[in-house]
Amino acid sequence: MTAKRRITEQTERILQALMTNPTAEWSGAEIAPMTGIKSGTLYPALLRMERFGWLTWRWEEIDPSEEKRPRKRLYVLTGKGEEISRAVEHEARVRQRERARRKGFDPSPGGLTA
Amino acid sequence: MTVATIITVVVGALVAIGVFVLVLLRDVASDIAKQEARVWLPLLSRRIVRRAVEDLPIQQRGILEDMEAQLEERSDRPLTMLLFAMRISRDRRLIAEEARALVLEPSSSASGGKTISLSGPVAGIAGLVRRGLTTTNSHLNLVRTLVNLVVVLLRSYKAMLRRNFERVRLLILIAIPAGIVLVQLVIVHVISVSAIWLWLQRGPNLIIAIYPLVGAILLTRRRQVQRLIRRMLFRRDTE
Repeated sequence: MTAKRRITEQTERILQALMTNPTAEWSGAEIAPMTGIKSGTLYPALLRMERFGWLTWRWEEIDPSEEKRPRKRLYVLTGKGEEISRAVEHEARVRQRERARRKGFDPSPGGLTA
Repeated sequence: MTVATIITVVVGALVAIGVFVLVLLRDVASDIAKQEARVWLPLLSRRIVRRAVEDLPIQQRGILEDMEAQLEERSDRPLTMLLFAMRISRDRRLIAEEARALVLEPSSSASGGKTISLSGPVAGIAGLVRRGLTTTNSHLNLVRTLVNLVVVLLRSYKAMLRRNFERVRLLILIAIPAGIVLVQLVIVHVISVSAIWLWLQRGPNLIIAIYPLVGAILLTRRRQVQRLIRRMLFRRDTE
């Protein structure tokens, strides 16, 4: 039995952003401008994704006294997160195709119809 | 000289002095405000973020360091720092709820069946119209539907503003200084025309002649006069 999990638009955007390079580590400051999500919304979303096991994080390896700034959290997608992201991407494509078909336009290669 | 003339001249002089002092002190005041903002706004922002983190479970308070790192990234823009802190503070409950859930249920292994829900103004309006049509057709329902419609439209307008924030900000950055300059020009123009009119009405008069003269000096030598005032106020050369 699979639990139904609601994926909000913000979560979807974060997953899409992280999927541009699934193995890379991203700080919140990098994710925010890519997704257009404000800090107040970003933190709960990241915490939720961490709770679901979709991403994990580690502290940036710097010496705060040397760099004269606190350490950042670096987030990375887990295997499950990647799987979910692919599913979300697939859903988005299906939705897009559905919308296009309703308008009478098939976005698949060679699928231009009147 | 009649009483009316004296009053006209005195009031005119006071207005003119007030306007020119404002014009001159504007830059000085903005310099002081800028210096203060550079010190106080970051302090205030850090305080707000720290207060917001107090709601989190102890295990999750380490996130403060990340928030502070993000604040530091904005240290050259104190107002943006404050905005960041205020957004954190606004959503502190939501953050705390998620953090508490994470402590109680760390990295759950629940598998990811999912429902996708997207919201948008079109979907919102469609839903409202559908509900409005299917419910009892009373005036109250109609009003409720219209109010909801306005709310949905306002929300989509807000979202549009958010998407085009950079453009709106650019527009504001251009419009505000342009507006200030325009108002200054109008004021100087009105004072000069009044002075000329008074001159024509009352004949050559030293006090009346001073208006356009002072205006001309201030317009052409504004920077020098401001520098002089700054030196007087701060007792040092700010150049």
